[in-house]
Amino acid sequence: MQQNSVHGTVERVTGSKPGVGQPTGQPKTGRRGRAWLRSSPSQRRGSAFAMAGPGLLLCLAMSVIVVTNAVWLIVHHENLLSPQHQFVGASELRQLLNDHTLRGSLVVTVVYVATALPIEVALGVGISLLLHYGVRGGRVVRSLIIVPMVLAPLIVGLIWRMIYDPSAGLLDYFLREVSLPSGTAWLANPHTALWGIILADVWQWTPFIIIITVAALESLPVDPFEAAQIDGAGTFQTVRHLTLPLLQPALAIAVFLRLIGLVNSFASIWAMTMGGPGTTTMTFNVYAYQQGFVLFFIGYATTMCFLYGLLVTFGIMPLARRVLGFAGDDNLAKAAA
Amino acid sequence: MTKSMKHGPGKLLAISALVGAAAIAAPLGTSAQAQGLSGQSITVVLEGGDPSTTAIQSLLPQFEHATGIHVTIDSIPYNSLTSDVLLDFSRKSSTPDVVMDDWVYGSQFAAAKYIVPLNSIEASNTHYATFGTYYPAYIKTMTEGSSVYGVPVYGETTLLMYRKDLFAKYGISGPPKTMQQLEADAATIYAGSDHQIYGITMRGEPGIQSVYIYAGFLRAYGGNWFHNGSVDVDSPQAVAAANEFVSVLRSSGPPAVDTYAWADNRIEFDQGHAAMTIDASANGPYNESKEYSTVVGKVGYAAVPYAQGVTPSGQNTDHSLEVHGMYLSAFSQHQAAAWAFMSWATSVGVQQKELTIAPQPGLTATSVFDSAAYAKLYGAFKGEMLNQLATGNPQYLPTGSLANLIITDVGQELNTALAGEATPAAAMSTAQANILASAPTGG
Repeated sequence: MQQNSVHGTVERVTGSKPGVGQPTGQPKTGRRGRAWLRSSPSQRRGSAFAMAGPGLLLCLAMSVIVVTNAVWLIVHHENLLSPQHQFVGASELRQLLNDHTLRGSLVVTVVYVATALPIEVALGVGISLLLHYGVRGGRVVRSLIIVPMVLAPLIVGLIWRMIYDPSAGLLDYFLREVSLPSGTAWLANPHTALWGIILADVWQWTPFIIIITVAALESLPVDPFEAAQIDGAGTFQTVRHLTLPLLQPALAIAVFLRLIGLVNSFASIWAMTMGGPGTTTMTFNVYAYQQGFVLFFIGYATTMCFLYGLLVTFGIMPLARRVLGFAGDDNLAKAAA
Repeated sequence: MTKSMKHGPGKLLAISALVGAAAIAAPLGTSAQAQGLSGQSITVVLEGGDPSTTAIQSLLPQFEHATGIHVTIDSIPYNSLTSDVLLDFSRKSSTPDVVMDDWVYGSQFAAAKYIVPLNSIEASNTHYATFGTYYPAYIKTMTEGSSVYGVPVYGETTLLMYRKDLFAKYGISGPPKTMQQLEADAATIYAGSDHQIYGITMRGEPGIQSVYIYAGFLRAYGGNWFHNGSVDVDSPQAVAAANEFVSVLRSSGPPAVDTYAWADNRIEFDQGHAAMTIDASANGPYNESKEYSTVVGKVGYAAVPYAQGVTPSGQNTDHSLEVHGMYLSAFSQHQAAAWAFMSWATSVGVQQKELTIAPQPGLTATSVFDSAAYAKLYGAFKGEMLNQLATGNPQYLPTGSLANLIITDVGQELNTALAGEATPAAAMSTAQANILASAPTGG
């Protein structure tokens, strides 16, 4: 697999139109590189473990400490305001099963992720294509597009809270200016609050998709596009059947990273709504924070987070496997065919 | 600070306070050295943004110079202060030595033995302050049995603040005497102003923010947090109180009221957008300051009304008596130095100077309350505030090991009702069920 991947990369480089900084033929390898290529797979594995070993050991030790502590908290139902260190076994798990608010928070999380992610990807890819194909003002947009991403999520939450303010907010001002109904308390209304926090996330993180996609677009091979042009393919057909399939590996990584980001969202939501109104925007992380750092049921919050971590890890695993070992060359081959 | 000191009375006050502070600092230096405190370092957690914190921070060099005690102040916003401190307490960390927090949480620190009684240490060093320095109701609030667990930094009550000009304009003779009248007055002004002026604004954010105000409604309807020692947040009185709280805000309040914390609510009122608010007496100076308010001189202050047919019973009038104090960590390695700081930070000398540094009507030294300088600054609401404090209820908010659970769950469900996602009755019923479900193991 690794060998195929290495060869595939070499072929892809040689098959591309040379660009700035791109190699024009076989990549140069030094004496050590050649020795590495000549070594047997078992020797390579040994070297790899020797190099990664110290880091892996450190990570393992840290994980053991954290997990041990977490398990201790879970089986002792630790409450920071009432430190009794009382052994309760698996009672926290039973409490989880009967927790209606937890179930509600998981539903809110799923809706939040399932809504924000497609919007961010669709917008991100659309804007990337416009930028790539030279829309006017593209350079300025490229420079500014990074701004939301570099802001701390807490700051983003506060900014959008001000934008949504029903009496002094920017949104309300624009609505008044165009004679549309104004004065809506977007974040205090159960029908609009979730959309409000989704929009804030889309604003902050669509640029991430754009940056990855634009970079991928600029490194695509030109041959298939020239072939498509000769065959008389139109713009839409080229995008549909060539650009998007070739973008798939890069997009998979972007989607994977955004998925992780979305399931971990907390600070901006807390700053905007604290999970309200009621429990309308109470995602899992907001609820876990409330249990751990508002009610100080640190044992229960740890139990929730432990299981949520497992759930998310195993839920994302298939995508991770696909992303980390993606078949980019297969896509290229399919596109070329 | 400099801005205030340009004015005559402020300048005189500041000079007298400086002289007073200098007079007591020198002997303390000797005292601190005699006790071997000089050279010790302590860490103190204070409520970020609070006027007392601002004053203490600016005066701290005088204390350090006089005693030789080095003090590191960690200023943390109120909303995250308790969790930060609890993480230190649960690790039995020797820092912070001193913690400032709401007594709602202080009472729970005491129950968990994270903080120690101050009786013996106060007796050993009375240089800056004794328990007798402070307004008795505040010390009484922070006393469990005969043990005093804190020294009061600031205290407050809740008041009904109303716009005298608007009441006159819409033909309302005076502040409402009952909750029903309050709702009617709010509706009159909201409708009369063509919905340009909200009838009332209050805090609706989940948690302590809304519960602090809702507690006034609960008491007004004769309710309590407990009945015969058991949690009782869905009693008929509690449901009636929640109904009133939700009803008046949904019919005459701002649309985003369920996101309002203290600052949001204060700004809404001080910008002239609402005819009434029920909030802490700490709002008084903001209402009366041209720097913060557009309604200076137009605000009247009154007690939170009772519901029709309800009269106060027992030893108090069930008005709010809220205190934030400084507590001494049980894990501190420098308890004598920590006490020296606590007693200095809440001493008469420091509190007198606070009057010139930051607006703070909630000062806790009896002699400062009684001073002419205090009356000059806070005369507009001093009388009503002191009346309520004198008969205030220390258990206005829930206290004890279940306090935080009750505040969080009731606050969450009130917010749900405010958002229209549940009726007040259903919301209080859910709060009661959630508290009981968590209390046996969690509380």
